[in-house]
Amino acid sequence: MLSTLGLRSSVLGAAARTSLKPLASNQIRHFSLVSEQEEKANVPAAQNRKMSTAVAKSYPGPISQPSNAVEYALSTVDKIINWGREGSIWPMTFGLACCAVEMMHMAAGRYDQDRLGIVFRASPRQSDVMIVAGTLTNKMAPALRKVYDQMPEPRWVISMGSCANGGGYYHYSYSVVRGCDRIVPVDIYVPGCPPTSEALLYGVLQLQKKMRRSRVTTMWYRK
Amino acid sequence: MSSLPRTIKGFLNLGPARFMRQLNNMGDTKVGTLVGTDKFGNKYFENFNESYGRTRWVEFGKQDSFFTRAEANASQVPAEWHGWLHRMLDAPPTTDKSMVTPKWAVEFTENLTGSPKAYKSYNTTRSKFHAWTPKVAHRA
Repeated sequence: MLSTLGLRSSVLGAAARTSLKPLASNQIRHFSLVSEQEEKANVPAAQNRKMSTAVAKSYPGPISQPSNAVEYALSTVDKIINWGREGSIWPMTFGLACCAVEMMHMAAGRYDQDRLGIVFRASPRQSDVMIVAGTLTNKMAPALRKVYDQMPEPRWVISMGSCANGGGYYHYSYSVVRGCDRIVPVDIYVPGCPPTSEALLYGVLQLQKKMRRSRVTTMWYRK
Repeated sequence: MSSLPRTIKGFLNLGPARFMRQLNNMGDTKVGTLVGTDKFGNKYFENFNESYGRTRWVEFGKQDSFFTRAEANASQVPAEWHGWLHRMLDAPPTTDKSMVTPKWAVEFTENLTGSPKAYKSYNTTRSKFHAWTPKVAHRA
């Protein structure tokens, strides 16, 4: 997940230091949408515009064209799966602090998350996105992990605000987790203290974009 | 806000292609005067008869239909046009030159998060801590 790509990842940092310029291929491997073969080919982005497959259009990077009829069919199946996933995001609200108020504003009349099919769900068993909104304390961390473990696959995590991203104001506190990505794998980081509800909604749109890129059945077929 | 007479009026004014595109992207049909176009092909419109706060809008150059998803994006609006859209500028940036782009400024790009072109930070200093492999002392 994206947390492996985190800014503080020392392994990637070491790799980048040797070449001083990060490779694009390092960044896309974890999306599980580019096989290693494609990665090596590394088709430039300009060539991609010609492709007509369902998923490839939403992705500016290298995704090779389907090579046979089965893959054509499966890429369409992928598109339907993605459409279903992105159209009914049910977030598990994990409101911990002032960010939660902005999260409520996203739900309320002005930004109106329901037009994207987002409905807050108080049960982790029936939700597929967790929005960690606020300061994650050491005491809350096991509960957060437990709730995350109770969510069914596929699941995504949005880390909202400085505190959830990396401790924020409380980074040097004795009782605060320095970023919720130490507990759960995070897909989208929304910066801000607190982020505006507009920013959170933009983060949700970015998550939709990420969902749109997944190629579940195509990758299953290729393996 | 959208209503049936307004939608019919919009269809007659916009033509079928733009009508469908607007309904898909905005969920509304908006008719206005074309104020300007930026180099990315985004078109900026204005109509003071719209309700307050909705008088200026953008139609993105990139398609965002059912077949090409996630092409249009709010971050594709360049800075000077963002100023016009959000009422920092009275006149469009084609006439109002008060927003100066310094010559050392990098070229405007949309948000590239999630794409291979996304910014990836790296460190050029020695890291403060290192992993170590434990060595078991030989026991007699």
